[in-house]
Amino acid sequence: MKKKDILTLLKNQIKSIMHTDYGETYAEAERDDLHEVVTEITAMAGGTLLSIAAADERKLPESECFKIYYAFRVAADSASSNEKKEVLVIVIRVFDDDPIFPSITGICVAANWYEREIFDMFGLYPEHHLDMRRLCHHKHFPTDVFPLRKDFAASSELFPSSDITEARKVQGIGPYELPVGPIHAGIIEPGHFRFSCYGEHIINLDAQLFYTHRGIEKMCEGLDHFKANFLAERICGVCSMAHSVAYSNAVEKIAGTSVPVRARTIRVILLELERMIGHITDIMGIAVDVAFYAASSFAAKLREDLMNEVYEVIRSRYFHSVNMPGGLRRDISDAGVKKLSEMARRVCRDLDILEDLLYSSTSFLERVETTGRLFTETVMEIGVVGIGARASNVKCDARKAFGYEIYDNLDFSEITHATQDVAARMAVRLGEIRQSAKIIEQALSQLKSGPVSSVIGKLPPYKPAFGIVEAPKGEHAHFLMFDDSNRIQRYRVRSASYANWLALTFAIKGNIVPDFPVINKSFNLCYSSCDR
Amino acid sequence: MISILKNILHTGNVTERSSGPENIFTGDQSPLVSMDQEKCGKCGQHECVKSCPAGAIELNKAGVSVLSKKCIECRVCEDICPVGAVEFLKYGAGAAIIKMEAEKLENEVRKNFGGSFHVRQLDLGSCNGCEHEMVSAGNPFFDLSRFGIDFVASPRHADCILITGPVTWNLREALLRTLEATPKPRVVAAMGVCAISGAPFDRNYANYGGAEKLVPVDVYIPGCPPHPYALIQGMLSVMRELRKKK
Repeated sequence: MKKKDILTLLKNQIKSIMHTDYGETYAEAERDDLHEVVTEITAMAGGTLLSIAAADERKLPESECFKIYYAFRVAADSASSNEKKEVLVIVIRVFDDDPIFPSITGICVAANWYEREIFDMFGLYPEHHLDMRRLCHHKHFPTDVFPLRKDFAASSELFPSSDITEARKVQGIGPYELPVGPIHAGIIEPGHFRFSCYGEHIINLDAQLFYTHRGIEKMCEGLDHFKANFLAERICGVCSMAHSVAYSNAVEKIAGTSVPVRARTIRVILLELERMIGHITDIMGIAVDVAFYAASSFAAKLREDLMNEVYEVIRSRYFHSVNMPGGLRRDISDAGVKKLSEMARRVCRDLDILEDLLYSSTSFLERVETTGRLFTETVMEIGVVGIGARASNVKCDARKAFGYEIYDNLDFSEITHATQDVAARMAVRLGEIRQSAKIIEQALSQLKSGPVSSVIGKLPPYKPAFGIVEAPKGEHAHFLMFDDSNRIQRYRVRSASYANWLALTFAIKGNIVPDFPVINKSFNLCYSSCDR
Repeated sequence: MISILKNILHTGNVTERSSGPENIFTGDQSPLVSMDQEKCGKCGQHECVKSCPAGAIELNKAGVSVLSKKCIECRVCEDICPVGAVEFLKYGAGAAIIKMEAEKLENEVRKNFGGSFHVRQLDLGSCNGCEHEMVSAGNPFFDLSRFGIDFVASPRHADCILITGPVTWNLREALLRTLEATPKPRVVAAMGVCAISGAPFDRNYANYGGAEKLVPVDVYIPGCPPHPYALIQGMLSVMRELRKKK
């Protein structure tokens, strides 16, 4: 069902349309009608949850309340196929004297974490939510402090004590509990896992995350659009280009800026290079986790070839300081772009050797095939994005769905796979690296000379927008809103890892403990962009 | 099996011979920045001080200096300087590059640590960039382990704790317990500017803004993230520090 049809269907529930710009419709509904509205959108009209963001707008004269923005991907009005998506946002008001909102987790499981986070950060209680353990805060955090409320000063000093949030336990004769983390054995990020096992097999996994919560969203409030970009780049070290472009897209939508074509083309080239590096790193990680060092060393060589070339051309191995709202910080010469695309082509050629290594080793295939299966129904239900979804045969690619930058003019295919296991996720990655090289080739042929940035002028106050970008890990959605002095009022980052975390707990069930690292790696969940 | 061997032989040895141009990380001034003091100050406004997103530029008598403890290498100052006094360098190699031979590091490890030096990495809220550079330092190009330096699983086996990230409140306990488990003499090194000074993150309800706010830090490895060369050389300063303690 298309967006305009959904709006006609919901005309009794929708009080007013706040604005319809840049393919996003913001419609306000009554708090008590939320259940009905969400059921219509998800169950009847085939919409999927993109993100939920709350904002403290109590100081604003026209609202004087909290607002919760429920964003859904729905079929676009203009497109002929169902592939093109637009954003439909349902806005509800929650008042200070009655800080309760209806939980929609029962009808839309993907909303689970968002609602728990809204309680932790804003103190608004999702009524009838089944799992109200704290998500973002650990036990030391005071129960009456809500950091994203405007009356909480970012620099407030709290008094930490130590404790670990209780995990779900499997009881009976035989099952035992295996605690792991937060400090792990390898060079990886911190998180605490409780495995409930029976023999070698995992029955349940409960994860305590948000160890690396740095308070980036709070930090960004009050910053101007240029400075916040540096924090957006550092939400995740390995998809900083994707985060930066997502953030910039949101700013550009609000400002109504049109970015020069050259900047958009170079952005696509850099985003695809980042995807190639990310995917090769993941394949390397999968090979390391099953102790296949010949393949992992070769993958590491390919990765370093690419990263070194990127460093030669843009002087940053992680695409820092290239992008900014309005375009690029500095132009990249045609020769530089050509060098990058040549390296991409070479790496793509060498990929055949890597693929040969991986697929000719039966002991390697034995470890990855049928391991960590994530069923298609689970993917649909919990709203998995990116590689995790595509390897379970669910189409979910923001490049196709939202066509940001110049992706609409490029010819590439969305790789999906049907076997749903670690091997499928690896195969999707191999396919996507090849597609990326193809995209870079095409973008290079479309590269024209011209300016690379345009000026961001006065930003309309309190007008929200989403910046959506397909990163190597999946789709990032940045929600952004400015206040009346051109500073950020609310910035909510929904990274791919945040949407995909629950998928891991489903995929792990029934597998053996030694396979956990490789399953974890195959989703490539990033703690820092999840915790922010 | 034969195809694997064939590929290994075909790829050959890709390891870099030297451990890169040596940076001198002793001063406050960032080794990545070449500041032309002749030109600096001619603009009279010091726009760079205000516009640095990490607050890394300090005004002093000689002009301005870029603090290595805070510089995130965003190069805003280079863009904004009206007289062109700031220039960013590759790997931080200045006019006086001292090419360091790889043997120097190897000898250091062999002589003082019996050929094996162990590092325990500790992520305290990093963006994952520094972790990836640590992994890169172990790849066939940089090959940190050829010097006898290894990342180990347990802090009980470590000579050095390598901290990344601005130290979040939620990981405070993990940091203190890990340090308690590390035998002395040990070196605590901070990798990346956010572990050193918190920049560009401000200290707030969720993070401490640098490891030094909680525990004493012996060695800084600045950068955002530091290049694998910088990490390899940082290891050399870690060893010097540890030799002093022994």
